[in-house]
Amino acid sequence: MESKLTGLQLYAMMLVFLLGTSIIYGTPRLVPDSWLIDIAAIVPYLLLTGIYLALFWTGCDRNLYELLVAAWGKHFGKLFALGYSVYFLYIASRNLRDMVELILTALLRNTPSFVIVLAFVGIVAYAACGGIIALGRLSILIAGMVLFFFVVLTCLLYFSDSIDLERVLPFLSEGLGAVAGASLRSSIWFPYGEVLVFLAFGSSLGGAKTLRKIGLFSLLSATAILSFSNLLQTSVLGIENMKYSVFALLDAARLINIENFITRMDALVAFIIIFGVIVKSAIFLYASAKGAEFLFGSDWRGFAPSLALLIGALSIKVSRNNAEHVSEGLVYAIYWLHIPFQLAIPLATLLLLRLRLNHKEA
Amino acid sequence: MATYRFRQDRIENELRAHFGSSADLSLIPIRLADRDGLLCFLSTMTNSTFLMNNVVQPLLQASYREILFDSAEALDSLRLRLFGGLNTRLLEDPGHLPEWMTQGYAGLLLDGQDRMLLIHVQELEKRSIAEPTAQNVIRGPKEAFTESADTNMSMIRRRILNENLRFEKHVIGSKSNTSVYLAYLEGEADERLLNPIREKLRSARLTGLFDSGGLENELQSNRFYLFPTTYNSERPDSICSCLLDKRVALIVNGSPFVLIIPAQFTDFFKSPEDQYQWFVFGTFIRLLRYVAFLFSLTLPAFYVAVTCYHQELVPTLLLTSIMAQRQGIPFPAVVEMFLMEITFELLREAGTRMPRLVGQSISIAGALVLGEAAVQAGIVSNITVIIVALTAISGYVSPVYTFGANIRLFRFALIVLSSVIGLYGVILGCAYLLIHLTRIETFGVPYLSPLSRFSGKRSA
Amino acid sequence: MAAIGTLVLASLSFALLVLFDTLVYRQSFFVSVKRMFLDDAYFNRSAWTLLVSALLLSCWYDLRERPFGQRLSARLFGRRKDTRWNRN
Repeated sequence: MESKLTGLQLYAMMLVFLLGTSIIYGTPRLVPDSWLIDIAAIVPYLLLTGIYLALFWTGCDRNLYELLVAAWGKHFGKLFALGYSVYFLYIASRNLRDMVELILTALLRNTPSFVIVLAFVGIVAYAACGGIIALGRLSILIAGMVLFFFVVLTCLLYFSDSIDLERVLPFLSEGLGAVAGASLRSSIWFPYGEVLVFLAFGSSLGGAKTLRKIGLFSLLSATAILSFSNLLQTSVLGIENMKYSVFALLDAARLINIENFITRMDALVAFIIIFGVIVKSAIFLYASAKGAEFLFGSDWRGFAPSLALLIGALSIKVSRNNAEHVSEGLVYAIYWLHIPFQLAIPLATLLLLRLRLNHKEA
Repeated sequence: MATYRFRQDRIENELRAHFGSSADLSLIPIRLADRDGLLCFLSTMTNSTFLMNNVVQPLLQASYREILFDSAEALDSLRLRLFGGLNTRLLEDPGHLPEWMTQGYAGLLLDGQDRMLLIHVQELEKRSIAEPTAQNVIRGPKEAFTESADTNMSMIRRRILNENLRFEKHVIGSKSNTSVYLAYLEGEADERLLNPIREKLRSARLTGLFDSGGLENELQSNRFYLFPTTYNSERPDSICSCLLDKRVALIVNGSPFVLIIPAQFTDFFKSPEDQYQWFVFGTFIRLLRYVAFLFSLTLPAFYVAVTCYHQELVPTLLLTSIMAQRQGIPFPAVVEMFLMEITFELLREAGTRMPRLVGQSISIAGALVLGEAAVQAGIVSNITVIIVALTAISGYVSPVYTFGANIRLFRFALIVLSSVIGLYGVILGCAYLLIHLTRIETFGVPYLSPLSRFSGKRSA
Repeated sequence: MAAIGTLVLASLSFALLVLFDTLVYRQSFFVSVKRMFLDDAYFNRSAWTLLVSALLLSCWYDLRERPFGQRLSARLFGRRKDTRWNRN
């Protein structure tokens, strides 16, 4: 499967990947002006993705795992590759858990989570086994659908007179510093830092130049859409309600009421999140299966279904209730996983790779 | 002197032995000047008028003064003088004679010659060109393909007056030897598409081929695909516009449906009429077809999911009305839906197979089962009947019949899914379908090409 | 190899979960391990079922590579490829 993704496919994949669950949950409410957090995060995350791009460019289109081995040597490289595979599995299971929580809250209250997870995991395995190009084609369609549903939601909210921009005030009540701090504490790592996964695709990406252009474009469009989504949610719900609502877009969608006829558009939100998480999980599953293939030898297609079931098992076990899930995500996952895997190790790998290349030339 | 192989009585005996006592074997002794000869053919492959006018009369009425019957060139000169306008060949090996005769050749054997003259006398009765039965348009040509491959090829040739149009003959079917013609525009169709198709045709292991549907199964790369990977059409204008679009057509002798490879998802929603009308209207109709497809697939499942699990998604007034209707019904919504859908499938199948003369009884029976009578008997509710009827109508909107046929089964699977896990199941089923669509590839061309690859090129 | 790989990845990821448990609930490592195995009965069963089926599936994929597995899968699925469903 050595064919390349076209520019549009890569763009759609990255867009759906970034929007995925964040569009429903909204940015974590560390500050009342949550819609500014994403905008404030632009410069930091551009620096972060700059590291990834530099890594990709230095490594001449090689896989993430091959880069690790090239920089750190065979044993440490393989150890780090193992770490990354497990990391991708963990993030996938967290995303899956997010979606399962929403389904359990909004759609199917009495169904055991096992059924929901099993059905979903089968679909994700099927999507990932099609290969990266089929995933690209799928993402174009899903990106179109997610954007369409989002626009429909916005229009419906507008026409039901639920949007009141005054609810966004007071503006910057805690000051710019708090916003910047919040962006550094949470927004860079989730969702923007997860773009690291795309490095695991290696040569299918179509070159460092394409990745730079498309990556930049998709990150900026995702920021715009997410900020707009946050703004929409705040102007519909108000700052207080936003603080206490877990699924902001869902609560906003419940307020749609046009002539008492079009009401309770929960289904739209369910569509958005299910399709978004399918693509996200399929991408993580593919990256993890590629890692397993790199480490253990057999074809990644043999790993994909088993790893999908493993992601299912992990998503049930990852936390006992939603509160633990959210707090784990906000504090512990960031310090223990995201910062090392998304910042420390890639930076170190980049420096080591540069050193080795200079050594070789000299 | 005649060699032993071509002696008249020997040939006669061999033919009689080979064809058994087949009633259509005709062995007619003739006499040219002072030579004896034999004319052998299968009378069912030709008709007597043609034979009389083109073979027998010239033979009887010609003057043989210039022909030296003793020389080896006698047959050549006969061939040029008498049968110049017909397709003729010379046969060296009498063992192949039955094969040629089944393909519509008549053999002319002359005493003293060591070769035989084969004359192509095939004149079969064919259905005349009529209106299409399966794909109708209001504005557009009303010719349809017939069962004879020659007529079909001529209908394509007369529309594409291009010297690059090629027809390649393949013979498929070990016992039926059906001719299949591969049509393409040289220079437009890619070799990377043609070669795998030729390979597949050569390695097809069929004993007989009587309709292009049999060939479709051979050409399908994976038999678990839910969607058809070859497009078939009865209309010459569709086929011709596909040929101009760098695609390849397969004409099977005996089938009025011509196949187009590779097929794409959007083909099954296009009618040639869309281009012949105002573009806004054409786009609107095409959109309507997609929506109708979606409806026919998900509406029953959606209804079941909403009434069983997500009653809060329905507007309150409609909800109370639905619940009121469902009050006295003994079955759960799923069972109702299944009953009605299966009844409708029975009706549809019966309507297709039934002889035309007894057609009236079906509509009466159908109206009873699927209408007021069933509702008043308390078996189903009104809303179920409406939904089944709406689903059925939407299902017929796709211009290509076989496409709707394939996907009907998936509707039942979605109903089952929705009855187990509600709207989530419906969404997952649709996701499965979507992923399946993106994975299908025919001969290297992705199934969703124009949708997921905006190359900007609008095709017919 | 697939089975070994899945086993390694599974154990490492569950170890990660146990680690997070110790951090969030501020309890010792062994208590977390015990809770992971012995907690809420229903949730438990389903997660372990999924895990066991993941391992079994990877064993099946491994087996398919070996000659024994190929003969087995030919007996179960493969024969049908020769006898096509469009027999005339």
